[in-house]
Amino acid sequence: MTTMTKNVDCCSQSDTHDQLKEKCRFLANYAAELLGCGATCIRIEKNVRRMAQTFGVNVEMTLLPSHVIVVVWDADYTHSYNCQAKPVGEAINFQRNIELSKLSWRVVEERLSCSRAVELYGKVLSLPRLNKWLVLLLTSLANASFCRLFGGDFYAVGVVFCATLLGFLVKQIMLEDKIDLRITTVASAFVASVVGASGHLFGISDTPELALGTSVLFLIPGIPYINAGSDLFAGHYLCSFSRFMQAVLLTICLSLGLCGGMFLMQMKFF
Amino acid sequence: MHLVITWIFVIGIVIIGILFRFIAKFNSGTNHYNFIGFSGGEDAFETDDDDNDDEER
Repeated sequence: MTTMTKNVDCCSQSDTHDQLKEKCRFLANYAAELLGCGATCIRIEKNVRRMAQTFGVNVEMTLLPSHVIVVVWDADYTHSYNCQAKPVGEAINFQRNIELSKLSWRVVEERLSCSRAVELYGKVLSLPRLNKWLVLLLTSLANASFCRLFGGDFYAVGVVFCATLLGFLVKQIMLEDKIDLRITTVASAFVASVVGASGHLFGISDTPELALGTSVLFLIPGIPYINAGSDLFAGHYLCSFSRFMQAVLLTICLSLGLCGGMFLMQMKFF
Repeated sequence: MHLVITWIFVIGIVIIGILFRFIAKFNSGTNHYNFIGFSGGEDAFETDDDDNDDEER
């Protein structure tokens, strides 16, 4: 009788352990994926806590710039499981960010089990990215619109469109070849600024300085700056500082590329 | 004038580099063996291990 009771206890502990493990691994991978997509720390925390509450577990997270550590406790705080995960990719992906956030709400609203959530999570990860040619075209149009917004004439807008098209294409190709993002930014800014200088060179615009200035706007790391500010206000100072430094480095690389292009085209800095 | 030449040179190199990359990527997508005139698949790597000389002895 005592042996049977012991066996039953062991089985139930093993089940609890397995369930905690499954939930912990899912929440850790989910949090790491959100971190890699460019979500703010507060969003990651809220989404994970929301799902953990639905799963009936308690969760504590440590969000670091390149890692996530998740500890999951059962409802009574008698058993726990911890897991560490690292973001796989570092490219910002708004679509995946939105889909993962929707998943967290779906878990709450439909009271989904962890296994079903894992299934849906896999489907979100398998969604393809936006067509790169469409992104190239839309980025060029957006940057050209910025030039117009700042008062550039239509020739300058055309110059910026071409500069962004070529610069962003160089960036896409170099990133596909897994070249470091900082070197890619320098090269892309250099190419964009050389094309952007054609307004000065050929005298085809009345606002050539605007064309040159806005030709590299597409490389500005806006999301890391915004996320750094958001993490600062939320109290995640490590992540905030890390993102801010990353943004500053990219801005320095952009400046180097722009200065290189201006120097080659013998344009005055001041 | 030399600035125009420099500009054309830089843009030309970038465009040619992009074109070369697209061509290389297109070629790497084809069957490597057919590209170099090599007709074999698994047969090309047949070794003598199948002969089992030890058993004959």
